[in-house]
Amino acid sequence: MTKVLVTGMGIVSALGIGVEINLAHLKAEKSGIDSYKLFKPFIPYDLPIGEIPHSNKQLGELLGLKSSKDFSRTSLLGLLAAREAYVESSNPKLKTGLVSSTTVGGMDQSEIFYQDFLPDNEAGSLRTILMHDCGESSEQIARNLGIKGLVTTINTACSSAANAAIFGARLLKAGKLDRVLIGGVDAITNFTMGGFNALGILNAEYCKPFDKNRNGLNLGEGSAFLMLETEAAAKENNSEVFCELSGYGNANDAYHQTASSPEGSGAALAMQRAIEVAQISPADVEYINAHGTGTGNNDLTEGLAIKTVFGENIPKFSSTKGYTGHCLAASGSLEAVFSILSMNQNFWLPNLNFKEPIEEHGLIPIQKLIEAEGPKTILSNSFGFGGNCTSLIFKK
Amino acid sequence: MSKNYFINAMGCVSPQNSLDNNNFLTEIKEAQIDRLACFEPNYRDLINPRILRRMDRVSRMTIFAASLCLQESGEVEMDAILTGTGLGFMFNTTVFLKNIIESGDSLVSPTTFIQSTHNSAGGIIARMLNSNKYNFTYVHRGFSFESALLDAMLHLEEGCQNVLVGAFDEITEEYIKVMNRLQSLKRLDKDQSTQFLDASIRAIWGESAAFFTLGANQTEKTYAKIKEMKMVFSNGTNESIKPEIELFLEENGLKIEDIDLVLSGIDGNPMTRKNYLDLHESLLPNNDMASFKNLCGEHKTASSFALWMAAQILHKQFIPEVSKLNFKETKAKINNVLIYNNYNNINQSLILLEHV
Repeated sequence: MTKVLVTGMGIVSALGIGVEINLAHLKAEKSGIDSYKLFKPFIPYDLPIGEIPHSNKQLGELLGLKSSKDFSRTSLLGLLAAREAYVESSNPKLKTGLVSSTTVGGMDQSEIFYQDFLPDNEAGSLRTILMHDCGESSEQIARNLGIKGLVTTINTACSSAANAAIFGARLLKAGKLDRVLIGGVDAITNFTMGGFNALGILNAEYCKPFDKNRNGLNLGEGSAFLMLETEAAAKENNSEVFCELSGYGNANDAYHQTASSPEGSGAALAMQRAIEVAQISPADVEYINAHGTGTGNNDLTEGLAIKTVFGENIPKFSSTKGYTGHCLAASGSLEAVFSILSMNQNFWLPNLNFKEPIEEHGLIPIQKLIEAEGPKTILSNSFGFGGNCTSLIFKK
Repeated sequence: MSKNYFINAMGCVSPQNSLDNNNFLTEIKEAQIDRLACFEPNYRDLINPRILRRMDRVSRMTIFAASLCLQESGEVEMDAILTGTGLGFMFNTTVFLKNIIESGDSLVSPTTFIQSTHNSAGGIIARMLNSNKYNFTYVHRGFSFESALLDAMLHLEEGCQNVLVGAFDEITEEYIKVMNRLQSLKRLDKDQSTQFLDASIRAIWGESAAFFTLGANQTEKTYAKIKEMKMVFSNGTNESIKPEIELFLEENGLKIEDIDLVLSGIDGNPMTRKNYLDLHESLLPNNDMASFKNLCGEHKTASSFALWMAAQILHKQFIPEVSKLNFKETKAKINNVLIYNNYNNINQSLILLEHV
């Protein structure tokens, strides 16, 4: 069975547009979370977010679009990251697909529509509501890049992009596709801000993943894509190989729609399955990029799950949510890009804002950036509503 | 590597009475003006009242359909749970949006937000079955169900024995208003023949929830076998799907004339109707043909209702009169059924089934 190789990366986050600027800010330990400047809230929140400091018009200009009006913010962010990650193929016979993901699709446009439509059902621009569904941004990307082999979209909440990677890898291994662009995108919307705020898990300060006094998450927006190719396709295209996607696991916690089980059983199972698929032992994992949202529930149960899987030999780990905020569907692919950068650019990612460990598990993440030979085997976690738990393993 | 995907159990909640698989469309429910809404069961028959109380309508439809399928499956362990939905939980989404737009403060209840996540049905099924297995939700327009089905088929190829795969979409008042406004913008083409449907040229909006147990092995209960499935993304061009269908059949060792029944997604939607008619006339003029959207209405996951219907047709060797569009002769036996669906001329799909 073929290996699945990562041959392209693209990213848009609160740290900036493109891999280079994201790398520079990661290494400078500079967070992109700040008070919002562009987001237009229905409810005046006094909350920091990981916002991309470009208006839709500016994003459209960066993409060379005549007008950004027919695009949701989700599509614009997705297009930027997808274009950067996409590797052209020299052989038209190679079958290329797209597996994208988003949790709320073009909700930013639906919100504009609903403000007019709710008081008067004959009002509201239909152009905006046509962008509502989750498939819209994926089709914009596929059309823009000329991808025809397979086009689909996953929504399993905050594990979405990691699951897009799993489905993409399985399609390559089964020979259904030779190449697949995978990733996720979500823009800041009133819907998600209002939802997480109503859940009482948004932090008025900077999030503090894995800290004893953590007090909720910061929402972020962004997009990241990875180009995955079979060994044969990568060879034929003379592609630059960043690493291998060697393992993956998805498990359902089967406990609660929004909360993790007390011991994080689904999270532990996802990690164990990924380790099994990669045919390695837990001791081979050198670094964990944790989901680590900064909520009481996640960081406690994820830590306990890590202990279940790794016992006393906990690998170095960190959550990078303090840099970008929680980018929902995109978090899995964003953090995959960060992890691969750390592997290839020889540094270890710090967990910003950590001070004291959580009493129940006592785990201490990497606190300051380490400049040394990067981790060669990385496990990346993404967990979502609906009990959806996913782990990916990247190998040098 | 399994290339046999057996439909071993099904559960379907639709505008028709599709609740008992022993009966097959014996009594037909007709559209109310612009919609075909689900014939709703007594949900308490299969859903725990404690959970039922907190569920919105589409969750009830979905969990009931999944429960029907699971009940028919018996003590079979599912190696994966795959769901597809075009628009997810629209009612909850609209209620939550309305709350945050109208309230102007942060004291809104998170309930409808929590239950608006597209994968929440998959999560409920996992909790119902206490299943830690692989659990994915696909949300891509006219490919939502097909993508879940592809994942299900991949699982069987990878060595799994049984998987649960299904799809759901609901209609809401707001949705109907938006869709009718969109449709009225489309100029009606006078040349569009009414050869197949004598209804006026407009789509009837619909909804359904359908689940299937796909197994690697045939059982006593097997309805039919899925031979292959294909999604064709048209990339915004208007090129014909004809060569794709020919290639698809050839790859499966079949010719056009081997297809005993084409189950076509044609309806009155002026956007797609002409392309359907062109295809019917150029590629399939001699094939027996039946429709399904006059029974379930147009929605992004209507093909899941079509799969339920095709499996019933093969199993019962019976084609309901109301769905017949074009019949040349009465076939002695229905062996091969092809479902063809065209969503907005962009997402076109083919599902090939075989009698077992």
